[in-house]
Amino acid sequence: MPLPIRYSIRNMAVRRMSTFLTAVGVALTVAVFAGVFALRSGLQQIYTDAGRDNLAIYLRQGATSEGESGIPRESAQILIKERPEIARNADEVPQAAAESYLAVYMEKVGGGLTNVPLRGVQPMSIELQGDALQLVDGRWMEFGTDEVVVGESVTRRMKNCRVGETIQLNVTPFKVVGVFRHDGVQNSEVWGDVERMMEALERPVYQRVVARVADGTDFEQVNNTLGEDPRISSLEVQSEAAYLASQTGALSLVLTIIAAFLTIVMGGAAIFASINTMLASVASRTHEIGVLRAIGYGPVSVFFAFVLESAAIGVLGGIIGVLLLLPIQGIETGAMNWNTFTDVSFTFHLTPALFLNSFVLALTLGVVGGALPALRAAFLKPVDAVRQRG
Amino acid sequence: MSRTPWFLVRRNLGEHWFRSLLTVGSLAAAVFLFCMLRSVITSLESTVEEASADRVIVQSSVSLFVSLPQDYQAKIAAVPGVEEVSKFNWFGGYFREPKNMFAQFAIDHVIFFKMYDSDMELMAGHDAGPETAAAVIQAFKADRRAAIVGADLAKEFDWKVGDTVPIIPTIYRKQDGSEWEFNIVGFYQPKRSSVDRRTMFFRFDYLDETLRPEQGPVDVGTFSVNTQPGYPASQVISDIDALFVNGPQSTKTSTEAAFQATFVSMMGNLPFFFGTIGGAVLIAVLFSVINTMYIAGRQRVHDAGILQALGYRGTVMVRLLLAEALLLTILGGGLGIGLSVLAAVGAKAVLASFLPNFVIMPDTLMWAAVISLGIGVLAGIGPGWMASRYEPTAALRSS
Repeated sequence: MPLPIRYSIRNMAVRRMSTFLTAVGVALTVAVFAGVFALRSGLQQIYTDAGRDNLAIYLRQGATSEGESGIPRESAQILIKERPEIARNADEVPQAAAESYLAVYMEKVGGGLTNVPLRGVQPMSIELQGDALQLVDGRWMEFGTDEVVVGESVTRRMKNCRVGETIQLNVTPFKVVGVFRHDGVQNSEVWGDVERMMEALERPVYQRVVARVADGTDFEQVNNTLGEDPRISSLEVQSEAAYLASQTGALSLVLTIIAAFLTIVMGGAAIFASINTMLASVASRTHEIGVLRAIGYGPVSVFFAFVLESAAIGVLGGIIGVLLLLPIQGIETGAMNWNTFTDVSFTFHLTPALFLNSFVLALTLGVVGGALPALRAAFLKPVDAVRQRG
Repeated sequence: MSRTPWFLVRRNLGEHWFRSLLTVGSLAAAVFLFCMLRSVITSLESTVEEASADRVIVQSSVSLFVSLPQDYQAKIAAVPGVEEVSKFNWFGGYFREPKNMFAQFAIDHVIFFKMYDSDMELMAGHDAGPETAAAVIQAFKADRRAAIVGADLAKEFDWKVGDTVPIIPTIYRKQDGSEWEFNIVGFYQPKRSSVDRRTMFFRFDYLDETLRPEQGPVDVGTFSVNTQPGYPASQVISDIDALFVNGPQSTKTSTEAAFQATFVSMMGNLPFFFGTIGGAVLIAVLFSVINTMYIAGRQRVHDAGILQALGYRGTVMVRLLLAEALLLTILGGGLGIGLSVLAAVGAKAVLASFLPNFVIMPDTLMWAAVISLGIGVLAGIGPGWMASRYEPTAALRSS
């Protein structure tokens, strides 16, 4: 015969202080766990989730990111004009753009320098982005002039990046004329005319070619045919999705390691605390447990009553932890992406799966913490237990 | 009776040994985390604090990835207050596999060792001292492919003096696609934490002369400039930048400390997160230890009554519980500090590519000890007071 759930819940209320302190320990563990993973899923949101399979990225062979790549002018022109996999628009123009890329110094609004990606683009670059890219303030830059547009997070987080202000690039001032929003990592970039960028920075080569390709393109096969043309055999191609996924390895790994390390150590401390609380709870109710056993409740019922109590403390902690964390949802933060060595801004992103995992973690901490004391309660001898003064 | 029955502390901790163990364990976990997280921050900052005061770094004003023409060197050297100038080129290669990442810098072999004399100690194997240093410098000057590596790095890859180490380039590729080969002529040990422990320094002329026939002269990443002692660095900085304000590449000169600080600033909000998390952990454990002592206190109301009936002063239970709490926190804190000192060795290897100078500062350990004791005091006084506030008769009547 199981003990009523009410019994376990009421017991929590009797030892209010201990219950609360134990729950806070679980809550902080859950908050740290979910917080670090929320960062990671925010990172995934702009890299992995935003990558498209029908955009092709051409880089120099062996380059692990745009910053390391270099594509001579002639190669880019041949590539765009002649490659069969590149789609054409209604006017039969190849849907491809050659772009330059350089991480430039910018000052953060709160002080301190960081590296911001500066992308030189062609008119087709904007068309290629489709719905992922929207202008939210001002206007697009005029190609052929010293004007730039900046990503939303750049305008918020970097100095001199509001519409009407100027950015100095080497010896040339560039005027900020607009702000765009991008679903992906390009929200942290500055865009200008590629020809003006290359001249101002004295950098004569492009860094990548980006192109629209048919859905389901076999990039492996395209790579093989690239290799057959000696004029462009030093290039290699991959989907944007694959490229972006490869750009978060280091930061994502660091966040995962941090989360795992902290959860294990803090979780251990939280389990210790809940064992202590439950042991005290069992000790002070020895007489009561004896009575329960005497009137016919079996050891299994007693065991579950105590595990349930501890699990309920865990869940309470889980709820407090998630509530503590809710206000950070959507907060924007910046961190160094070690793969590109640039500042990338992303938001804490709490997902339903993360909520679920947090509750599972909280419940686990509670159950594991309660199991041992519950066993002790279950195996008390009824005769001895009743004799304890209550 | 005025003497406190201290043996009760030992008895009581022993009777509840499992609870005591768990409390010590959770405190050790917290102190351990605190030490590790704080050390990440202090290690980042130490590179800034120990930077040389008589050195400025000249780099492109645009980007870390933009290089400067070689002829800038002579112009910088002519600026008043400048003592010596060396080129510094990030080579960006790796040994065998991309995961074996460490810094390689091409430097001017003629001047480098003189400029960095107070930053690093030269060694050959286990030998050190002025004669060894002179021999290493001599060997470096005699061999175009010579390189010195950090002693830590040499240990990591088991490199000996005389070894030839192949490095695969990511930036400076040769036309034939071959690897670069360097002959190790010595090791170095940093004398201050602003110097990276895992770097390979090699000769700029090797880089330049190899690539010049194929790709023209190699541009320079940064110039490291030693200023004359006592000469105002700010004056040197503005004089150098004024030289190149109209290009072809404008420069941004900064003190070595400011240069290092940009790398810390680039970490973004990560140090802030570490700080926040460290705080959350400490609070969590403070709660847990207070909780345990509170439980201990409640179970001792009856004992307090007996002690008072025996003639001890009312505050005896405060003293006893305080002693118990302090003993637990000293054990836990000590264990946590010991663990973190041990783990620092492993952490250094794991973090090597992100944070090569990971080290636990003495003041971190001191703070850990202070916080442990603080938790002990807080966790002892409250429950002790609670247990002793009853009248002896009331206390005796409670279970």
